[in-house]
Amino acid sequence: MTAPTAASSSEMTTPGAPPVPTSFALFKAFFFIGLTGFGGVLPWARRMLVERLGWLTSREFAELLPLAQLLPGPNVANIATVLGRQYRGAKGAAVAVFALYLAPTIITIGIGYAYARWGHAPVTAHLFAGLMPAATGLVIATVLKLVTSLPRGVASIVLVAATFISIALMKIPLLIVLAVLGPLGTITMLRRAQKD
Amino acid sequence: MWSTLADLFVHGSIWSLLAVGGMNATLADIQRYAVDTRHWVTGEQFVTFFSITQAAPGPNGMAVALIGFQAAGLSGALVSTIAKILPSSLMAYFVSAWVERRQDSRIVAAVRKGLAPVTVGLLVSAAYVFARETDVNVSRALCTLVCAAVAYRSKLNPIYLVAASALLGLAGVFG
Repeated sequence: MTAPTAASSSEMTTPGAPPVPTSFALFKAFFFIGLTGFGGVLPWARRMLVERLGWLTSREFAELLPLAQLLPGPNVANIATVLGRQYRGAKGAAVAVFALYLAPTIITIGIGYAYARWGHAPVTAHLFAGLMPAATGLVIATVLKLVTSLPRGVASIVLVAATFISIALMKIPLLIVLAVLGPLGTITMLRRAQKD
Repeated sequence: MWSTLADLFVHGSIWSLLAVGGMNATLADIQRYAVDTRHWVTGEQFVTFFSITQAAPGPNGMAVALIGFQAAGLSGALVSTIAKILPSSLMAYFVSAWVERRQDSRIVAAVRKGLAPVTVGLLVSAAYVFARETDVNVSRALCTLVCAAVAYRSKLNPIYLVAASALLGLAGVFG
Protein backbone atom coordinates (compact mmCIF):
# COMPACT_ATOMS: atom_id res chain seq x y z
CA MET A 1 0.00 0.00 0.00
CA THR A 2 2.91 2.36 0.65
CA ALA A 3 4.60 1.93 -2.74
CA PRO A 4 2.00 3.70 -4.92
CA THR A 5 1.84 6.66 -2.51
CA ALA A 6 5.62 7.00 -2.52
CA ALA A 7 5.70 6.90 -6.32
CA SER A 8 2.99 9.50 -6.77
CA SER A 9 4.48 11.87 -4.20
CA SER A 10 7.91 11.70 -5.84
CA GLU A 11 6.19 12.52 -9.12
CA MET A 12 4.73 15.63 -7.53
CA THR A 13 8.07 16.85 -6.15
CA THR A 14 9.80 16.55 -9.54
CA PRO A 15 7.22 17.69 -12.07
CA GLY A 16 8.04 16.89 -15.69
CA ALA A 17 11.59 15.73 -14.94
CA PRO A 18 11.67 12.25 -13.41
CA PRO A 19 15.21 10.80 -13.38
CA VAL A 20 15.91 8.48 -16.32
CA PRO A 21 16.45 4.91 -15.04
CA THR A 22 19.98 3.52 -15.44
CA SER A 23 20.71 0.34 -17.42
CA PHE A 24 21.23 -1.48 -14.13
CA ALA A 25 17.83 -0.31 -12.88
CA LEU A 26 16.30 -1.57 -16.15
CA PHE A 27 18.02 -4.91 -15.65
CA LYS A 28 16.75 -5.26 -12.08
CA ALA A 29 13.18 -4.29 -12.95
CA PHE A 30 12.77 -6.63 -15.91
CA PHE A 31 14.67 -9.49 -14.25
CA PHE A 32 12.09 -9.49 -11.46
CA ILE A 33 9.17 -9.07 -13.88
CA GLY A 34 10.40 -12.19 -15.72
CA LEU A 35 10.80 -14.09 -12.47
CA THR A 36 7.46 -13.24 -10.94
CA GLY A 37 5.16 -13.43 -13.95
CA PHE A 38 3.09 -16.43 -12.95
CA GLY A 39 -0.10 -16.78 -14.96
CA GLY A 40 0.45 -13.85 -17.29
CA VAL A 41 3.28 -11.35 -17.02
CA LEU A 42 1.38 -8.18 -17.89
CA PRO A 43 -0.26 -7.54 -14.49
CA TRP A 44 3.13 -8.00 -12.81
CA ALA A 45 4.80 -5.66 -15.26
CA ARG A 46 2.15 -3.05 -14.51
CA ARG A 47 2.58 -3.49 -10.75
CA MET A 48 6.36 -3.09 -11.02
CA LEU A 49 6.57 -0.21 -13.53
CA VAL A 50 3.60 1.86 -12.38
CA GLU A 51 3.05 1.12 -8.70
CA ARG A 52 6.45 0.16 -7.30
CA LEU A 53 8.94 2.10 -9.43
CA GLY A 54 6.71 4.93 -10.65
CA TRP A 55 8.49 5.00 -14.03
CA LEU A 56 5.14 5.28 -15.79
CA THR A 57 1.76 6.66 -14.81
CA SER A 58 -1.26 4.41 -15.18
CA ARG A 59 -2.18 6.35 -18.28
CA GLU A 60 1.28 6.10 -19.89
CA PHE A 61 1.20 2.34 -19.33
CA ALA A 62 -2.24 2.11 -20.95
CA GLU A 63 -1.00 4.17 -23.90
CA LEU A 64 1.99 1.87 -24.35
CA LEU A 65 -0.25 -1.23 -24.56
CA PRO A 66 -1.86 -0.89 -28.03
CA LEU A 67 1.52 -0.64 -29.75
CA ALA A 68 2.93 -3.51 -27.64
CA GLN A 69 -0.09 -5.59 -28.67
CA LEU A 70 0.17 -4.68 -32.33
CA LEU A 71 3.85 -5.60 -32.56
CA PRO A 72 4.57 -9.33 -32.87
CA GLY A 73 5.82 -11.27 -29.85
CA PRO A 74 4.84 -11.25 -26.17
CA ASN A 75 3.42 -7.87 -25.10
CA VAL A 76 5.73 -7.64 -22.10
CA ALA A 77 8.82 -8.22 -24.27
CA ASN A 78 7.71 -5.36 -26.50
CA ILE A 79 7.22 -3.12 -23.45
CA ALA A 80 10.76 -4.03 -22.34
CA THR A 81 12.12 -3.14 -25.79
CA VAL A 82 10.25 0.18 -26.07
CA LEU A 83 10.99 1.38 -22.51
CA GLY A 84 14.63 0.28 -22.71
CA ARG A 85 15.00 2.20 -25.96
CA GLN A 86 13.31 5.31 -24.60
CA TYR A 87 15.47 5.37 -21.46
CA ARG A 88 18.88 4.12 -22.65
CA GLY A 89 18.78 3.56 -26.41
CA ALA A 90 19.88 0.30 -28.02
CA LYS A 91 21.83 -0.76 -24.94
CA GLY A 92 18.82 -0.21 -22.71
CA ALA A 93 16.54 -2.25 -25.00
CA ALA A 94 19.06 -5.10 -25.12
CA VAL A 95 19.53 -5.05 -21.33
CA ALA A 96 15.78 -5.00 -20.61
CA VAL A 97 14.95 -7.86 -23.00
CA PHE A 98 17.92 -9.95 -21.81
CA ALA A 99 16.94 -9.42 -18.17
CA LEU A 100 13.30 -10.29 -18.86
CA TYR A 101 14.16 -13.65 -20.42
CA LEU A 102 17.13 -14.62 -18.23
CA ALA A 103 15.28 -16.40 -15.42
CA PRO A 104 12.50 -17.94 -17.58
CA THR A 105 15.10 -19.40 -19.99
CA ILE A 106 17.10 -21.01 -17.17
CA ILE A 107 13.91 -22.36 -15.58
CA THR A 108 12.58 -23.71 -18.91
CA ILE A 109 15.86 -25.49 -19.66
CA GLY A 110 15.72 -26.98 -16.15
CA ILE A 111 12.19 -28.19 -16.96
CA GLY A 112 13.52 -29.72 -20.19
CA TYR A 113 16.07 -31.79 -18.26
CA ALA A 114 13.46 -32.76 -15.64
CA TYR A 115 11.04 -33.80 -18.39
CA ALA A 116 13.69 -35.94 -20.11
CA ARG A 117 14.35 -37.67 -16.80
CA TRP A 118 10.95 -37.95 -15.12
CA GLY A 119 8.53 -37.05 -17.90
CA HIS A 120 7.13 -40.54 -18.22
CA ALA A 121 6.73 -41.42 -14.54
CA PRO A 122 3.07 -42.07 -13.50
CA VAL A 123 3.00 -39.07 -11.12
CA THR A 124 4.12 -36.59 -13.78
CA ALA A 125 1.72 -38.11 -16.30
CA HIS A 126 -1.11 -37.37 -13.85
CA LEU A 127 0.22 -33.87 -13.24
CA PHE A 128 0.35 -33.12 -16.99
CA ALA A 129 -3.15 -34.54 -17.47
CA GLY A 130 -4.22 -31.98 -14.87
CA LEU A 131 -2.38 -29.04 -16.43
CA MET A 132 -3.80 -29.59 -19.92
CA PRO A 133 -7.49 -28.77 -19.26
CA ALA A 134 -6.50 -25.53 -17.47
CA ALA A 135 -4.25 -24.47 -20.35
CA THR A 136 -6.98 -25.23 -22.89
CA GLY A 137 -9.61 -23.45 -20.80
CA LEU A 138 -7.42 -20.33 -20.55
CA VAL A 139 -6.96 -20.20 -24.34
CA ILE A 140 -10.74 -20.50 -24.79
CA ALA A 141 -11.29 -17.70 -22.25
CA THR A 142 -8.88 -15.45 -24.18
CA VAL A 143 -10.84 -16.16 -27.37
CA LEU A 144 -14.15 -15.24 -25.66
CA LYS A 145 -12.70 -11.97 -24.31
CA LEU A 146 -11.31 -10.98 -27.71
CA VAL A 147 -14.43 -11.94 -29.68
CA THR A 148 -16.55 -9.52 -27.66
CA SER A 149 -14.03 -6.70 -28.31
CA LEU A 150 -14.10 -7.11 -32.12
CA PRO A 151 -15.83 -4.46 -34.24
CA ARG A 152 -19.31 -5.71 -35.18
CA GLY A 153 -20.03 -6.58 -38.79
CA VAL A 154 -19.85 -9.16 -41.54
CA ALA A 155 -16.19 -8.33 -42.34
CA SER A 156 -15.03 -9.40 -38.87
CA ILE A 157 -16.96 -12.68 -38.97
CA VAL A 158 -15.67 -13.54 -42.46
CA LEU A 159 -12.05 -12.78 -41.46
CA VAL A 160 -12.26 -14.89 -38.27
CA ALA A 161 -13.83 -17.80 -40.17
CA ALA A 162 -11.38 -17.57 -43.10
CA THR A 163 -8.42 -17.60 -40.69
CA PHE A 164 -9.77 -20.58 -38.74
CA ILE A 165 -10.55 -22.63 -41.85
CA SER A 166 -7.19 -21.98 -43.51
CA ILE A 167 -5.07 -22.56 -40.37
CA ALA A 168 -6.87 -25.22 -38.31
CA LEU A 169 -8.72 -27.18 -40.99
CA MET A 170 -6.69 -26.73 -44.20
CA LYS A 171 -3.34 -26.47 -42.36
CA ILE A 172 -1.98 -23.75 -44.63
CA PRO A 173 1.30 -22.24 -43.31
CA LEU A 174 0.80 -19.15 -41.14
CA LEU A 175 3.14 -17.02 -43.27
CA ILE A 176 0.90 -17.45 -46.33
CA VAL A 177 -2.35 -16.94 -44.38
CA LEU A 178 -1.10 -13.70 -42.81
CA ALA A 179 0.34 -12.42 -46.10
CA VAL A 180 -3.13 -12.71 -47.67
CA LEU A 181 -5.57 -12.01 -44.83
CA GLY A 182 -3.51 -9.31 -43.05
CA PRO A 183 -3.57 -6.79 -45.95
CA LEU A 184 -7.15 -7.81 -46.78
CA GLY A 185 -8.29 -6.98 -43.24
CA THR A 186 -6.32 -3.73 -43.19
CA ILE A 187 -7.80 -2.54 -46.51
CA THR A 188 -11.31 -3.43 -45.32
CA MET A 189 -10.83 -1.39 -42.14
CA LEU A 190 -9.23 1.55 -44.03
CA ARG A 191 -12.25 1.67 -46.39
CA ARG A 192 -14.65 1.55 -43.48
CA ALA A 193 -12.74 4.42 -41.80
CA GLN A 194 -12.98 6.48 -45.01
CA LYS A 195 -16.75 5.92 -45.23
CA ASP A 196 -17.32 7.21 -41.68
CA MET B 1 22.25 -31.68 -36.10
CA TRP B 2 23.19 -28.38 -37.77
CA SER B 3 20.26 -28.64 -40.16
CA THR B 4 17.88 -29.18 -37.22
CA LEU B 5 19.33 -26.11 -35.46
CA ALA B 6 19.00 -24.05 -38.65
CA ASP B 7 15.42 -25.31 -39.05
CA LEU B 8 14.61 -24.37 -35.42
CA PHE B 9 16.12 -20.94 -35.93
CA VAL B 10 14.35 -20.17 -39.22
CA HIS B 11 10.93 -21.33 -38.04
CA GLY B 12 11.40 -19.82 -34.57
CA SER B 13 12.12 -16.48 -36.26
CA ILE B 14 9.05 -16.81 -38.50
CA TRP B 15 6.82 -17.48 -35.48
CA SER B 16 8.46 -14.61 -33.61
CA LEU B 17 7.61 -12.18 -36.40
CA LEU B 18 4.13 -13.57 -37.08
CA ALA B 19 2.97 -13.62 -33.44
CA VAL B 20 0.38 -10.90 -34.02
CA GLY B 21 -1.49 -10.27 -30.78
CA GLY B 22 0.83 -12.47 -28.71
CA MET B 23 2.57 -15.82 -28.98
CA ASN B 24 -0.65 -17.84 -28.68
CA ALA B 25 -1.63 -16.77 -32.20
CA THR B 26 1.16 -18.97 -33.59
CA LEU B 27 0.30 -22.13 -31.61
CA ALA B 28 -1.71 -23.87 -34.34
CA ASP B 29 1.07 -23.26 -36.86
CA ILE B 30 3.76 -24.46 -34.40
CA GLN B 31 1.67 -27.61 -33.88
CA ARG B 32 1.38 -28.11 -37.64
CA TYR B 33 5.13 -27.83 -38.20
CA ALA B 34 6.67 -29.33 -35.03
CA VAL B 35 4.18 -32.21 -34.68
CA ASP B 36 2.80 -33.01 -38.14
CA THR B 37 5.71 -32.08 -40.41
CA ARG B 38 8.89 -32.58 -38.36
CA HIS B 39 7.72 -35.02 -35.65
CA TRP B 40 9.94 -33.26 -33.10
CA VAL B 41 7.22 -33.80 -30.47
CA THR B 42 3.95 -35.72 -30.25
CA GLY B 43 0.61 -33.92 -30.20
CA GLU B 44 0.23 -34.64 -26.51
CA GLN B 45 3.77 -33.44 -25.71
CA PHE B 46 3.03 -30.22 -27.56
CA VAL B 47 0.05 -29.39 -25.36
CA THR B 48 1.90 -30.64 -22.28
CA PHE B 49 4.87 -28.34 -22.95
CA PHE B 50 2.59 -25.40 -23.44
CA SER B 51 0.75 -26.23 -20.20
CA ILE B 52 3.99 -26.57 -18.20
CA THR B 53 5.42 -23.27 -19.41
CA GLN B 54 2.12 -21.57 -18.67
CA ALA B 55 2.48 -22.69 -15.05
CA ALA B 56 6.10 -21.44 -14.97
CA PRO B 57 7.12 -17.76 -14.72
CA GLY B 58 7.96 -15.67 -17.78
CA PRO B 59 6.46 -14.42 -21.02
CA ASN B 60 4.24 -16.63 -23.21
CA GLY B 61 5.76 -18.93 -25.76
CA MET B 62 8.63 -20.44 -23.77
CA ALA B 63 7.19 -23.78 -24.91
CA VAL B 64 9.23 -23.40 -28.12
CA ALA B 65 12.36 -23.78 -25.97
CA LEU B 66 11.08 -27.18 -24.79
CA ILE B 67 10.26 -28.19 -28.36
CA GLY B 68 13.81 -27.16 -29.33
CA PHE B 69 15.16 -29.16 -26.38
CA GLN B 70 13.25 -32.21 -27.55
CA ALA B 71 14.48 -31.74 -31.14
CA ALA B 72 18.18 -31.04 -30.48
CA GLY B 73 18.99 -30.96 -26.75
CA LEU B 74 20.39 -27.93 -24.92
CA SER B 75 21.62 -26.19 -28.08
CA GLY B 76 18.16 -26.68 -29.61
CA ALA B 77 16.54 -25.02 -26.58
CA LEU B 78 18.94 -22.05 -26.73
CA VAL B 79 18.59 -21.57 -30.49
CA SER B 80 14.78 -21.71 -30.25
CA THR B 81 14.78 -19.18 -27.40
CA ILE B 82 17.00 -16.72 -29.28
CA ALA B 83 14.95 -17.17 -32.47
CA LYS B 84 11.78 -16.49 -30.50
CA ILE B 85 13.13 -13.30 -28.87
CA LEU B 86 15.46 -11.57 -31.34
CA PRO B 87 13.40 -10.89 -34.51
CA SER B 88 10.29 -9.57 -32.74
CA SER B 89 12.40 -7.43 -30.38
CA LEU B 90 14.33 -5.88 -33.28
CA MET B 91 11.04 -5.17 -35.00
CA ALA B 92 9.61 -3.62 -31.81
CA TYR B 93 12.74 -1.49 -31.49
CA PHE B 94 12.59 0.05 -34.96
CA VAL B 95 8.81 0.16 -35.48
CA SER B 96 8.12 1.85 -32.11
CA ALA B 97 10.70 4.55 -32.93
CA TRP B 98 9.03 5.05 -36.33
CA VAL B 99 5.53 5.25 -34.83
CA GLU B 100 6.69 7.80 -32.22
CA ARG B 101 8.06 10.06 -34.94
CA ARG B 102 4.78 10.25 -36.84
CA GLN B 103 1.82 11.18 -34.72
CA ASP B 104 -0.71 10.62 -37.53
CA SER B 105 -1.27 6.95 -36.83
CA ARG B 106 -4.24 6.33 -39.13
CA ILE B 107 -2.42 3.47 -40.85
CA VAL B 108 -1.30 1.96 -37.54
CA ALA B 109 -4.92 2.06 -36.34
CA ALA B 110 -6.15 0.43 -39.56
CA VAL B 111 -3.53 -2.32 -39.38
CA ARG B 112 -4.47 -2.91 -35.75
CA LYS B 113 -8.18 -3.14 -36.52
CA GLY B 114 -7.60 -5.21 -39.65
CA LEU B 115 -5.41 -7.72 -37.84
CA ALA B 116 -7.75 -8.06 -34.84
CA PRO B 117 -10.19 -10.53 -36.51
CA VAL B 118 -7.26 -12.51 -37.95
CA THR B 119 -5.72 -12.73 -34.46
CA VAL B 120 -9.03 -14.01 -33.09
CA GLY B 121 -9.19 -16.60 -35.89
CA LEU B 122 -5.66 -17.74 -34.98
CA LEU B 123 -6.61 -18.07 -31.31
CA VAL B 124 -9.75 -20.03 -32.21
CA SER B 125 -7.44 -22.35 -34.17
CA ALA B 126 -5.15 -22.71 -31.13
CA ALA B 127 -8.16 -23.50 -28.91
CA TYR B 128 -9.37 -26.08 -31.45
CA VAL B 129 -5.96 -27.80 -31.67
CA PHE B 130 -5.68 -27.84 -27.87
CA ALA B 131 -9.19 -29.11 -27.20
CA ARG B 132 -8.76 -31.91 -29.74
CA GLU B 133 -5.64 -33.09 -27.92
CA THR B 134 -6.79 -32.42 -24.34
CA ASP B 135 -10.45 -33.30 -24.11
CA VAL B 136 -10.27 -37.02 -24.69
CA ASN B 137 -12.68 -37.81 -21.82
CA VAL B 138 -15.65 -36.23 -20.04
CA SER B 139 -13.81 -35.16 -16.87
CA ARG B 140 -11.13 -33.26 -18.83
CA ALA B 141 -13.73 -31.59 -21.04
CA LEU B 142 -15.72 -30.52 -17.96
CA CYS B 143 -12.61 -29.10 -16.29
CA THR B 144 -11.74 -27.23 -19.51
CA LEU B 145 -15.21 -25.66 -19.62
CA VAL B 146 -15.11 -24.65 -15.94
CA CYS B 147 -11.64 -23.11 -16.31
CA ALA B 148 -12.73 -21.23 -19.44
CA ALA B 149 -15.89 -19.92 -17.75
CA VAL B 150 -14.10 -18.81 -14.56
CA ALA B 151 -11.22 -17.18 -16.47
CA TYR B 152 -13.72 -15.40 -18.72
CA ARG B 153 -16.11 -14.18 -16.02
CA SER B 154 -13.76 -13.38 -13.09
CA LYS B 155 -10.52 -11.50 -12.54
CA LEU B 156 -8.98 -14.41 -10.60
CA ASN B 157 -5.24 -14.86 -11.31
CA PRO B 158 -5.16 -17.80 -13.76
CA ILE B 159 -2.36 -19.43 -11.77
CA TYR B 160 -5.02 -20.59 -9.22
CA LEU B 161 -6.96 -22.35 -11.98
CA VAL B 162 -3.76 -24.03 -13.17
CA ALA B 163 -2.96 -25.13 -9.60
CA ALA B 164 -6.47 -26.46 -8.92
CA SER B 165 -6.53 -28.35 -12.20
CA ALA B 166 -3.06 -29.79 -11.50
CA LEU B 167 -4.22 -31.04 -8.08
CA LEU B 168 -7.23 -32.75 -9.67
CA GLY B 169 -4.84 -34.37 -12.14
CA LEU B 170 -2.54 -35.59 -9.36
CA ALA B 171 -5.59 -37.04 -7.61
CA GLY B 172 -6.13 -39.15 -10.72
CA VAL B 173 -9.42 -37.55 -11.78
CA PHE B 174 -8.43 -37.26 -15.45
CA GLY B 175 -7.29 -40.86 -15.98
